[in-house]
Amino acid sequence: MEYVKVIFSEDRQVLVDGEECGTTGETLEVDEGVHRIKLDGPQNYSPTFRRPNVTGTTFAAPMEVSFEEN
Amino acid sequence: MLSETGRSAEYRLASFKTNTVNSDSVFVILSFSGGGTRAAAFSYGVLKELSNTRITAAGKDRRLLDEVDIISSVSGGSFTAAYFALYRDRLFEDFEKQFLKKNVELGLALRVFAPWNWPRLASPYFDRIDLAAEYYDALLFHGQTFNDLVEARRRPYVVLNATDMSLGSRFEFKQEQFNLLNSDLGSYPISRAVAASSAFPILLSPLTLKNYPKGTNYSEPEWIDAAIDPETKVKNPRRFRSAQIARTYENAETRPYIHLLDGGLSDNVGLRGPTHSILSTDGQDSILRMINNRQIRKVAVIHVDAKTGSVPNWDRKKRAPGLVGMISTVTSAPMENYSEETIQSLNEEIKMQFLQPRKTEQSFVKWLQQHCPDAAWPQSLPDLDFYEIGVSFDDVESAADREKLKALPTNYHLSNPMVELLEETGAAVLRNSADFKRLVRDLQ
Repeated sequence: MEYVKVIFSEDRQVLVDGEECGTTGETLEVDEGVHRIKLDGPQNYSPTFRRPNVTGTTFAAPMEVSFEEN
Repeated sequence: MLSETGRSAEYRLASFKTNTVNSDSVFVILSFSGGGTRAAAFSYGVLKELSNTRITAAGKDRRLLDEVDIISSVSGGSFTAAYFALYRDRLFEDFEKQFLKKNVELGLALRVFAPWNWPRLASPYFDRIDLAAEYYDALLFHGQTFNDLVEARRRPYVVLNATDMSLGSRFEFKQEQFNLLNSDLGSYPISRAVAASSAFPILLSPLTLKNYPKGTNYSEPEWIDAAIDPETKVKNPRRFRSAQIARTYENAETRPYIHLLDGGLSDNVGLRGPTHSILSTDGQDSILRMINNRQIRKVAVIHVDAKTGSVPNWDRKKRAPGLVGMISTVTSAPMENYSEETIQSLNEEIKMQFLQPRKTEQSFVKWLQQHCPDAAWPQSLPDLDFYEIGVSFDDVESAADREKLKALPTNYHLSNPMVELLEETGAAVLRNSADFKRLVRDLQ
């Protein structure tokens, strides 16, 4: 299992590979490998999506995936 | 084929919402193995015991049976799973008479040898599996389709498993799988899906599905594109392989037809699908995503395995087994060997991927509180209780009964006393399981 935390200025639903998967600011459990991550709701952020290779993480040190408010 | 404008209400877990009867405070998954009537009766006994078990869920007194969210089934177990999903408590009124105590093999044989069916069987596009599906429909399912299950909108969500004959991989009767074929599962008869799930090689013929070309409105599920990335191949070859398999269905030119056989050839306990859902965010029915969405606090997996483990007596003879023996080995041995690994794998993966990290975090928090009381550690992983409950003949208390059950053949005709023994045993093994008792206690 790998761990990811999505960072954004407000609470938003996170979409992992097109499906709802937790919210911003929480540690999310995902399978190892590449995932397409974006935010649900208004498209007021950039980039439009991120595609990290989630690997080598722990629950104490999740991979942080950030989005900036436009 | 799927309509251009879109799909009918889909056969997926999200279409089966929780309600006043079923809450998500405990997420219960059952898996029913293959094994003909032996498996069907054994899993029936387990459902009976769940019906007799009272718990408190979401503040309400209810039966544990009402909390079952998913049933994943294979072969013989698929008859019980499908019948329960369609008819609910009527299972306990008429399934025994309609199916478990019926000589289903004789019924099938009579259809094969009925002269009026010979012209149909002479066609290359109509075979024994089609006769079997017709028979199961007349006996049990009466024209019901997957749309009937979606429209009822009650859990459990039943996943009937078959095997893709070309790839040897699991084929699940879910809309997600049918999307890859550009086909509508909703209108597909339950009887044909059960027939595919129980299409024992050689005795029955494969069931064939059409794989339609993908039109301009087809969009590939995002997880496939991510999982087929070369970096995923290096780090997670199993995930990469799943995406590769999914992609083969997208090419209707190279695979215009999909031939299905008994689900037991790829997973004879029906547990691989649920294991994948728990450990992966891929796919529409991911339970891991529900955990990430903080929707689930307790997950219980009850795997019902009617495996016999009987050893043939060939090794007592110098003369090698003949054709029948070889066919039996080729068809049964892989199923039985794989089952052990599947159950072991669930156990190990859950411990390693879920329970151990949570234990580690809890220990760390305790240590921190002791040694650095001013330091704060916001809990990162949501609390999750996991229950893994096995129901098999290995757990039968009476040695005499255990031997009797393990000697049962895989067929669709057992004596009434044997059917009753299987039902009672399924119920008793579940009831006496320490892990099951722990689950029930925690739900009071």
